[in-house]
Amino acid sequence: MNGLGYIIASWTLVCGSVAAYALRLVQRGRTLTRRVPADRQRWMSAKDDA
Amino acid sequence: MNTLGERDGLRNTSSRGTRTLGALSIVGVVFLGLFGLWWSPKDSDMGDLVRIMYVHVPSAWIAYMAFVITAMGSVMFLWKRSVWWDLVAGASAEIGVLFCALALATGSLWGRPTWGTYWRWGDARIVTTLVLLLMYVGYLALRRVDGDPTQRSKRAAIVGLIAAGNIPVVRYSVDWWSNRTLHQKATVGLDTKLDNFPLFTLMFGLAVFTVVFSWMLLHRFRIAWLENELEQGGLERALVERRAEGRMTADRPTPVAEAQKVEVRP
Repeated sequence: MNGLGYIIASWTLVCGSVAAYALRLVQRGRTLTRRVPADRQRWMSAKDDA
Repeated sequence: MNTLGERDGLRNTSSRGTRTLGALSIVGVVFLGLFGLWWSPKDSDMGDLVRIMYVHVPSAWIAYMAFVITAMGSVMFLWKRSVWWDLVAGASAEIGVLFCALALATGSLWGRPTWGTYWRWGDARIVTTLVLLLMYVGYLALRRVDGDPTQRSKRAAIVGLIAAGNIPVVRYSVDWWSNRTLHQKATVGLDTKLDNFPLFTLMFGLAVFTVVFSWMLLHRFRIAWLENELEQGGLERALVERRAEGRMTADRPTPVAEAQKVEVRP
């Protein structure tokens, strides 16, 4: 396979960045949901999710 | 109000919808890896380097889509003055910046073995994409400036709209300045030169990245919502404290009033 190093670098960069950002979103969400009262998390209501 | 967090015993920004999207994203990325790195054959034109296209083109696609959503959110905010649209615009811009940076980085990694250089300042597509990225970095910086939230959102919406004007410039730069770019014409279009299997893999990559983007946008929007609620809660608390201070000051007798009380005593 020609350019193998560039191919691996590209895929690692994209998958690594996307995974890191996704993890950061989940962690930030967990931290914030603890700090904001449940009645102000309107987007999370069971009615909206149906 | 009953929240999913309470109902499920969880305290996070996920919901049934985002969990489904998350599972689809993971499965999709695994299959994209299998298609892109193993099952898909070399392209007759690009050879094995076409495998970089399977992450480069979807990254650029998501960046465009995210910035278009930011522009739509900005228009809707200016029209309806709805915080909801402002938060959508901001959430989408952040994801767009991530994917725009990834598109530039993977483009450079593709350019080195193909053109013999990582970067070329004279290239119209590269430079306009960099300008697009920097404009949205500025947009995100503007959203973090302290001050009146409504004014801040209004200014951000105007900048978001101005920045969106650069999207067609980036898209058509390879046509408008075809003598000033190393880039080929659009990778995906009516005159696409990719073979069938690589083209299928590329389309599959676009679909997978769109699902990943949807998952990210939902979570990022919910985080923005919570941040906004915290900020509003902080403002309300500050207002209540200020009013309480004002009442205490009004109730407290001033020296003049004390003197008047002394004078009226028999």
